[in-house]
Amino acid sequence: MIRKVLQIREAGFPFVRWLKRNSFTIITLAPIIVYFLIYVYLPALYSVYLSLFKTRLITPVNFIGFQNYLNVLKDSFFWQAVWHTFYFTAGSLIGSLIFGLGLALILEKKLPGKIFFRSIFFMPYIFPSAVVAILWYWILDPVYGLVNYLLSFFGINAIPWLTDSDWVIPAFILIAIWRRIGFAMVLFLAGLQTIPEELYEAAVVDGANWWDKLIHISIPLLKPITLFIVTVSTIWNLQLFVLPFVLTKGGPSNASTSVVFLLYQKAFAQYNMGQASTIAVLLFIIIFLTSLLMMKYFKIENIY
Amino acid sequence: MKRSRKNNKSLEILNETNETQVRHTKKPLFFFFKYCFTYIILIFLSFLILVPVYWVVATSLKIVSNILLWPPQWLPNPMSLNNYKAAFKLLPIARMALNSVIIAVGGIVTNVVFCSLAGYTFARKRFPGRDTLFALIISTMMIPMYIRLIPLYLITSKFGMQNTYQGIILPSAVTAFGIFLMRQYIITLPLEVEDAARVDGCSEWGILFRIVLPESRPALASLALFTLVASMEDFLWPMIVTSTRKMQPLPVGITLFIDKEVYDWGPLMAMTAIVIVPVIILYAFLQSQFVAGLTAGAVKG
Repeated sequence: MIRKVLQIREAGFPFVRWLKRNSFTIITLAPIIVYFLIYVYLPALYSVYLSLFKTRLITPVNFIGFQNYLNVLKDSFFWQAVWHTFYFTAGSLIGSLIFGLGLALILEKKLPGKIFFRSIFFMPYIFPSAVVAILWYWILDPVYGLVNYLLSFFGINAIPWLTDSDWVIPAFILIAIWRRIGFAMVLFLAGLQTIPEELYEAAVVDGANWWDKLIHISIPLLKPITLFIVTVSTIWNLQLFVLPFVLTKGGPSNASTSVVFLLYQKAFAQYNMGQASTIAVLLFIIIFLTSLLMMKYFKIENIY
Repeated sequence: MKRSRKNNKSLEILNETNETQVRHTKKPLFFFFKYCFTYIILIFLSFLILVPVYWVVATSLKIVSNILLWPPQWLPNPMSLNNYKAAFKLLPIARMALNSVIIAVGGIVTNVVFCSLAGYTFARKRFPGRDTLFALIISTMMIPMYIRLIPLYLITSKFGMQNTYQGIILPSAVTAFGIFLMRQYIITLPLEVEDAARVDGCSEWGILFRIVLPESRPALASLALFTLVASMEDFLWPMIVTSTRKMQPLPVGITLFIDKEVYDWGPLMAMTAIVIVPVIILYAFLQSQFVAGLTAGAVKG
C-alpha cells in the first residue's frame, strides 16, 4: 500500500521527480547559492562596474572607462596612503614575526606555567580592534600617557606618538605588534611541534649549538608556517582602517591615511562612489599581487 | 696504523664522556640560571601585554582629579564607580551591549546552521557540478569585505534594512570559510556509521542531525568562536549601516562617541573596560578552545 503511494508520488513531471529525489541537496545548498550570488558575487562585480562610471551620490551617471583609475593613480594622496599602508604592513609583520618566533622558542620547552603565558600573549588578539585603538589612545597620550611615563625612567623624552607625522605609523606598528604577537607565537609553536626531535639530536651529536640548530633546522623547517603567517598578516595589515579612523582621522596633515581609510572618505564623506570603488579594486589588485609575490618568493605552492 | 686510529677513537670517546660528565656536574646551577632568565623575560613580556589592560581598568576606577596626576597613580585611591555612572548616562551602554550580543549570536546561528548543512552536502553528496560549485564558493575567501562594501551598502538600503539587525548581520551571515571548515571536518568522519543508519532506515535529515552534527561538535565550536571573534572585530560595516545610537554595537558606539564629544578620559575608559572585561572573562574560561579553535581555523583558512 505504502509502496503504491510512493510510486504514485514518484510519477509526474520529470522535473518534479528530480526535485523530490534531490530535495535534501537542494534544501541545503539553495540558500547559500542565493546568498553568495546576492551578497558576495554581485557586490564584488558591481564594485568593478561602478569603478568605470562617474557617479552622482550613489547612482552611476555616465560611463567613463578608466578615467577614475587615471584620476586615482594621478592623485598624490592615494600614493601617500599606499606608502603608509605598506610601511605599516612591513613594520608590524617583521615585528610580530621576530617576537612571535622568539616567544615560541622560549615556550616550546617544557616549562611550568607554559599554558598560562601562552594564554596571556594570545589574549589581545581577541579584543575588538576599535576598543584596542581607544585603549592605546589613552596609553600613548603625549602628556599623561603611560608609555611616555615608563620611557621617562630610561631618560627618554616624551614622544609625540600620535601627533607627529614621523611617529604616527611607528605608533600603529607598536599597537599592531601588541595585538598580533600571540597569533604568530601560537602558529610558530604549532610549527615547531612538527619538527622531529631526532633532527636536533643528530645536530647535537655533530656539535651544533643552539644558534646552529635555530638557523639550520628550526627556521628552514618553519618556512611553510612562516609563509602562512606572512600571507595572512599581510592581507590583514594592508586593510588598515580602524587605527587611523579612531586615533588620528588620517592626520596629522595626512601622515597616517591608509588605502581603506581613503576609500571610506571618498565613499562616505565625499559620496564619490565611483572613485571609492576604483580604490577598492586597486587595493584588491595590490593585495592579490603581494600575496602572489610572497608565494613565489617562498617557492611553496601548497600552504595547507 | 689501524691500531692507533682505534686508539684515537677510543680516546675521543673518553674525552666526550669526560665532557658530558663535566656538563652534568654544571647542570643544576646552569639550569637554575637559565630558568630564571627565561622567566624574567616571560614575566617582563607579559607585563607589557597586561599593563595597558590594567591601566584602562585602573583609570576607569579613579576619581576625576586623580586621572591626570603626574606621576600617575598605580592603584586607584580612592576608588569610585563614578566614571561608570557617567558612562551609562552619556551613552545607552546597556542597549549597545545588547546589540553586540544580538549581532554576535545572530551571526553565529546563521553561520553554524547554513555552513554545516552546506558542508555536509559538499562532503557526502554526489551531484554533477559539485566540485565546481564548491570551488566557486571557496574562491570567494579571496574577496575581502571592503571591495563589497559600497554595493552592500546600496543593496542593504534597497532592501530597506539600514539600521536593522538583519542589515548588520547579513553580509557575513554565511562565510566561505565556515563551509570549508565544516566540509573538511565532516569528510574525515567515518562513513560506516552513516551507512549503518541508512540501512536501518534513517532519513537523510536524521543522519545529519543524529549522527553527523553531534560528531562534528569540535568543528562547530571552532566555527562559533571564529564567528564570535569576527563579529567583535567587525567595525566598518556596522558603523556604516547604522544611523542611530540605539542600533550601534558597543565598539562602534564608543568610537563615534570620542568622535563627537569633547572626550573625558574617565567615562571613556569605563566604556572601554565594559567591553574588555567581559571579553577577558570569556577568554579565561575558554582560553584553550580559543587558541586551538582560532589557529586551527587560521591554519585551514
